[in-house]
Amino acid sequence: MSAKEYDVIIVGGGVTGAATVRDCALRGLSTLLIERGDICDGASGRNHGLLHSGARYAVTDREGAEECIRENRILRRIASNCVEQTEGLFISLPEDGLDYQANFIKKCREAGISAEAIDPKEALRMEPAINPNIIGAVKVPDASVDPFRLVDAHILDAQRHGADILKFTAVTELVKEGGRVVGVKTSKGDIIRAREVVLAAGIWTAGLAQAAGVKIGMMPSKGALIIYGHRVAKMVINRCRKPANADILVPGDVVSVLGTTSDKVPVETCDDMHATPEEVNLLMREGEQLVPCLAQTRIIRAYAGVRPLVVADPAGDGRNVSRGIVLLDHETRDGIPGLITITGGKLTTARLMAEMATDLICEKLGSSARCETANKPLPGSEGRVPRFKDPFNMRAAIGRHGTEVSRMDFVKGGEILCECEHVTRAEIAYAVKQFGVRNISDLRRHTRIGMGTCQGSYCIQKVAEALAEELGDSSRAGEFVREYLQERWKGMTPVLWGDTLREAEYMHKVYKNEI
Amino acid sequence: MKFDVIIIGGGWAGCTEAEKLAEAGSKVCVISEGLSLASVRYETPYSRHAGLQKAGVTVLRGDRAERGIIEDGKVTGVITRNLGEGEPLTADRYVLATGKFFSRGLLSDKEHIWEPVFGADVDYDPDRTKWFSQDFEADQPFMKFGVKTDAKGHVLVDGKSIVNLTAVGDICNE
Amino acid sequence: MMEVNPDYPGPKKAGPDGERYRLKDPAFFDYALKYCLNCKRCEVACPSDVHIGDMIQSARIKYGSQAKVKGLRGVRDWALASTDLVGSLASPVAPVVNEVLQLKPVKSVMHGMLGVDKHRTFPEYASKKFVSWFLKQDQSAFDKFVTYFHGCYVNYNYPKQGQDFVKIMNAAGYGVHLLEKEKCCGVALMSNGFAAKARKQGALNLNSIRKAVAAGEPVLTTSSTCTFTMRDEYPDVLGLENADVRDNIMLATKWLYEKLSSGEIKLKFRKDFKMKVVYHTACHMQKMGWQLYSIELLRMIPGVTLTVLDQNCCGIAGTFGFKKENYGYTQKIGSKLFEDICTSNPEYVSTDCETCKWQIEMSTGVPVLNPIEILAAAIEA
Repeated sequence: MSAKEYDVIIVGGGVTGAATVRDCALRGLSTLLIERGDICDGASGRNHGLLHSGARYAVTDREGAEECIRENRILRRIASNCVEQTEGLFISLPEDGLDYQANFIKKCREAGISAEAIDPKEALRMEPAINPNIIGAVKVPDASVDPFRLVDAHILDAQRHGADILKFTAVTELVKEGGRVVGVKTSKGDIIRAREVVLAAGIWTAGLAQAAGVKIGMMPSKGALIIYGHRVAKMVINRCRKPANADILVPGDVVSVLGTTSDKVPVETCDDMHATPEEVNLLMREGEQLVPCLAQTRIIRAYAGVRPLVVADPAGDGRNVSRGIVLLDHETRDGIPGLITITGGKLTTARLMAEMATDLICEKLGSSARCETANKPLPGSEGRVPRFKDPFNMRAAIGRHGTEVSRMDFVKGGEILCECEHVTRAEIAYAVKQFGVRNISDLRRHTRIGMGTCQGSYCIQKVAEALAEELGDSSRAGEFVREYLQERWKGMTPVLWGDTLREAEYMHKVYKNEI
Repeated sequence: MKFDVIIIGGGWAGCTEAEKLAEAGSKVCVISEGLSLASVRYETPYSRHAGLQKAGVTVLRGDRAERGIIEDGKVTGVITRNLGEGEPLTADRYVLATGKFFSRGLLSDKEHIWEPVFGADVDYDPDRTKWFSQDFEADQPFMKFGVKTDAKGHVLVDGKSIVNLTAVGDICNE
Repeated sequence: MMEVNPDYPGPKKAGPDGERYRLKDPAFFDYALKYCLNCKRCEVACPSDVHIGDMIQSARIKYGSQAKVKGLRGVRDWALASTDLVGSLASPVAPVVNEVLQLKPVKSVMHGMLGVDKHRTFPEYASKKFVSWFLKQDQSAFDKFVTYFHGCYVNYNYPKQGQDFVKIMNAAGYGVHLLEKEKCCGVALMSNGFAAKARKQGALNLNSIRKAVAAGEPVLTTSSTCTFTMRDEYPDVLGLENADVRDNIMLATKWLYEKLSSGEIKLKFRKDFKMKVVYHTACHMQKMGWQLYSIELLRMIPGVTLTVLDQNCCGIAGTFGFKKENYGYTQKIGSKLFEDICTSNPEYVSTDCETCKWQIEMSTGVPVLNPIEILAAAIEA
């Protein structure tokens, strides 16, 4: 048994857990976050990367819309290096009619979201790639957010305020004493004690809770997405109609992400999510309505994530499924003190979810510390970025990591290793030091390495050698290449035709005999 | 313009064929669009192109065979992008050496795989989910796809042998 | 360029990779793109048919405007780009200009202050422009005509090449017309960042070309770069639509090869003609794929022993090579070609590009002829 007793243990290293551990740390609580894999390995890293303005929910969910616009404004401020202020367009096609648009604008404004109707001609001038048949367009303050960077920034800030992060360690069960949850048992066999345990493990929360005798009605909803090789539009493009499949296109860094679908899936499948050829067909068909040139645009890969939707009524049949924030105090709800669940919500509202959860934790622990997360900038967004004499190779790194580049050694590591995404050697060294990466898949989440058009086929050997060197064991390069190619292959097979098939032949010719 | 043999594809396989033929005294033209896949692993075929040119072989680097003309079971000419419709290149014999997918000897969409120059018959599974194995390191079916040939090595188009068209290198099926 | 200059990111990074970033934010424009020679060899090599060179050229035009060179170097770039104007000014005083440009002190001033490399010899200005000579030629006896786009080099520096063209056409039974109005094709303007002016001149040229084509005449040229610019760079880089006349703009060697091989025209060759020639494929020639015609045309000439050189860049890239800061790169890039020429030990090098000619003559001392000049020398007048 670990001697130390934490104030709080948070289970789950997605955006919700990361935001919560930061909030707890800023309020001076001794906190531990446990994640079974790498940070941002689940749904938090498998989404659009859309910073909602709330417009999408304005018609159906006023409260959710208001939360979104509030958090949207906060994140633009505290996470400026993760957010790209692209703005968004909601376009109406002839079959959508304009009735929805009129109500949409009204509801947006009621929720405090600026929504400005734009002449279709003007919209086409702003975004020449959108469907030329549009009959209307509305500009809203949507934006693009890099989920990996956002989660990393929260984790870094938590660590810098004294929190502990335990990765690649699963929580196998909740430890109870006299009806109270007093800690967790880990896959390494340790028992770690805490005064409060917070479940923030997305769809995997229900299983953990159930073992402790708590029933949470969760409904895994799968969302598949496609990544296109470059930006086809500068703004987030939405369909101005009742939310449906494949009606959002988000420019993320140098790619475009189209999604998504929404299908109920069994919990058992959530550990191995991938997009199916049918989902790809559906996404492409709908996406081409939004932006016709997607039909000719290179697809890089397809992937899928799981939304942790909660059934408000445990006995319900799915009709009351909520995408809103769900904070469960199991002491009052189930008579099990020491356990809190925070789930539901969105990437955009994670900070608010954390604030709500931490408020409850503080109440339980008798702390009067106030939430400061809305006002304190995250690492990477702290003031001015240092200037470099010849910044070309570092420009992409500066864009991604903001002020964190001051911790990177570009003198030694200025060489670009990943040509598609302009990732430098210095970023690899940084990621190894700050995030304890084990392999190239981990490295990808913290640097974007191998996320570009070639999916690593040009650079992965170099990257593997560099990573092995940083980790102090150059014999591991081959193993890194192997792991990474298998991981990339999973995302390529659903779209294995045309250019992706060309890339696949290249990958096989180059690596098959070498690995 | 008339040659003895036109080789479509200036990669490793096409160059080898051209060298053999030039040595035997044939008037050869090589249409070489872009770098081939082999040049990624070994070296570019440019040094071999230089040797071919000095041996009198015409190397059209950067040009593409847009389509072959087939009449009565024989190829009668090739239209290239740079020379255009009005200037078909003709020869007694034609060799397809365009490689597989990377070099665009084979093109594909969601449902089909085809050979773009002659519309040669391609050996592949119509079910796309059977094109690949989920295990990257396993044998991949798509690496075996290629054009069909008869017992004499003549390329098949719509099931019929084209008597003056053969295939070499990766474009062939396994 | 990549092999000799570590500052140049190479076509992949400068082209499609960079473009993905420039689409995100124009601040990702890299000034090192100025090192792109626009040789288009990347497009020739690209297995995916990506218009890499066009992408780089367009990016320079779209994002590179702040990069306009200031001060005396700006004046130099403007002067190098303004082939028409400078040519017109120099021609009447050509002997003086030529003398002056050869003077050591002048060269060192140009090298130091203007950044025109001292190793370079400016192509001499002709005292009598090609056009002035041509206007005195009576072409009224012919009933069939071609139109000739002579270009700046023929007009201001080397009228002989144009005269040879007229000689061949007349010998083949064709009269020659000039375009109603001809301006520089604009290639030097584009590469020096004067896209708007290039577009204006291009539009004017296309207008004249349309009139010639409407009269049923092909528009023939003797410079591969002018031809490539008008056929491909006008639509791809400048956005000038030329599909209606593009097929009618061609190198004289292509037109001649086609007419001679079909028997439509006949030329009488001298019996005593002997020449050992190596052919150098200029970059833009390779991009068009038309070296085939020049090579086959040379092979038709009795007495010509022809070897085709490996397809390497000579390095000069037009006005690029005249700039002091680029001299070292151009010589390194061209070294493979120069070596190839020297080991072949020819009497003449033949190429369809005038700037390759300057570079090869300066770097190897072997005289360079356009295939048209060789043909003109080989026929009986």
